[in-house]
Amino acid sequence: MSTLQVDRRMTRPRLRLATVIRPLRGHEEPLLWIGVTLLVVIVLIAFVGPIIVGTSSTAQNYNAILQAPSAAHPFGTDQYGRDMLVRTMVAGRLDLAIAFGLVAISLTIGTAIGMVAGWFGGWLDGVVGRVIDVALAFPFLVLVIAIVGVRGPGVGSLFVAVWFTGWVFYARLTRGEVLVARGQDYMRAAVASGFSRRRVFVRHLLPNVVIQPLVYASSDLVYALLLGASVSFLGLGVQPPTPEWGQMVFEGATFITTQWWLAFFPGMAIVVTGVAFSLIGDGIADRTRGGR
Amino acid sequence: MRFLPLICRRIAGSVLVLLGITIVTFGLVHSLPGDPARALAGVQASPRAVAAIRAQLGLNDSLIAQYLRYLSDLAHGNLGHSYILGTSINSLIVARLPSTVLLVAYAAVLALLIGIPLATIAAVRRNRAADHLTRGFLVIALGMPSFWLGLLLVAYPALKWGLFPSGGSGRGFVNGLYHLFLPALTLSLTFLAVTVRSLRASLIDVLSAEYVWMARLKGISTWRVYTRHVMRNALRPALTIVGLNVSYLLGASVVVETVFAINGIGNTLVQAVTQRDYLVVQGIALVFGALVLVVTLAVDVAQAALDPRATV
Repeated sequence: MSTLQVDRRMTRPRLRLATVIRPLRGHEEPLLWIGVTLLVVIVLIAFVGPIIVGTSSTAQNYNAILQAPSAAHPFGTDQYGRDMLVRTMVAGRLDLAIAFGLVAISLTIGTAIGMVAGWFGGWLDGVVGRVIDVALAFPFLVLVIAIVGVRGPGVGSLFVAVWFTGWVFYARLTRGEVLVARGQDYMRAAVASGFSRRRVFVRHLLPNVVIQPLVYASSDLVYALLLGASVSFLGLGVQPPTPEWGQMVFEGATFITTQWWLAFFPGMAIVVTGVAFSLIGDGIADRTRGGR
Repeated sequence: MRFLPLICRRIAGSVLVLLGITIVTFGLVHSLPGDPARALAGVQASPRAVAAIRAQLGLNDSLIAQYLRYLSDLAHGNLGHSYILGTSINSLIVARLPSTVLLVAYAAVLALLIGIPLATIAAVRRNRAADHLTRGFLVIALGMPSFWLGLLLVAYPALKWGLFPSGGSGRGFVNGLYHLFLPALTLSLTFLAVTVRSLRASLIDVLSAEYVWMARLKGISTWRVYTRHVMRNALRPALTIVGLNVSYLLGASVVVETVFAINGIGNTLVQAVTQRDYLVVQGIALVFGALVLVVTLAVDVAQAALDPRATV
């Protein structure tokens, strides 16, 4: 019996960065292809769309107040006569930037802290471990709201809050990967070759331990999108008159039974973007499973 | 009691995390820019009121002394006083916590009621149409902002069709369940996206277990195999998945409570942030942290009690 017990980790083929980051093969990964295409279309609409339509997102027109969707205003107009289509498109720029920005911050800080803690161990690892335990004890949104509350509402506060808290998920993941990588032959070989610590870290450790955090980041995009929109919906993030989807849903909430289009279209925009993000996250995660 | 030492170790660990939580909530108020006493008193407070608060909270003492005083207050079950609402934070939380707990428990039950059949179908019909449909549903549920879904539910089934109340948490248990149905449904849908995938994976594990093959080989009907052998063994991981994700559920409840105007602690947190009532923010953050800790601990203990193989 004992001879049959093989450590799974030993038999698992080593995951390579090139497995996760490689060109898209549409016929092999249809879901990922749909997700990426959808995202490209959303980005194009958000950045190029308003230029084509040609109206400003803040231009008020008191001759066209609270108009239902029509050929002239496909998404209707709001109580200031602003065109909701242009506002929804312009808002997309901010929502996409917030989602990618929040994930980028958490990924960078978390991977760095996780690598240092996992590699050096000792008291440093102990402290990082306890901080992670405590941070994970709070519901993430509650912690973010509390920090935004103390600093005052705004996008800056949202980023500070995530700067303080978002790294823990990535650090925990990276730390575990470092602990596995440390014992592997390729790492021992790199250390034994007498390479500088920097070279060992950047050229040998990083490409191997960053895979799981990257995969996690791709699935985290949808949560970051919803976090940014939720915080703004609660009135604690993006402030009017800057258009942002969550904040637009909040502004439209008062009109929901009479002028449904005000809250409906920004919300739909979140759903469609969220679907694109979660298809991408799923597709990237599928790559690590080797087509299983 | 084989697992008693195990539980003691977990409780000791939780106490340490709880201490960490108090450091965070303490730090929250003390990282306020400027004079915390002025911030706590509110914009319109007179200098005398500010001085009184400063003396009352001991804000002239060293930071360590202030933290120890905070800890000792907490140990006496005193979360402080809201200078803006003019009530003790204890009574505020005692009044509002039940709605939140009921909502979250309700959502968890709904998520299991919807999630287990969904995950079972997906696992049994793996890589077939039903599995793909479930996956598509989950992708949409994951991208669905709960505040938007909640708003649409308030607008149509509640306000326009009059099927459900549009807000509040009702009186009494049965009426509460009726009042909280739409909010709990909203909350459970966001939660489903997180849990059904793990449920499906754990069901696939159980389905390929040897005892399930054995049961089938013995000629037991498919229905009986699922109800007696598969479900029983998949339920425990299901409960664990719900327990481990309770933190996500509690976080999402803040948004749902706000949309449906439920007087729970999540809604109170958002109001306190808008009113700059920092001590209430501090108290509620602490309660949320403690809630997560208690549920996680309970799940671990239940695990150890239910499954002799579990090592916590």
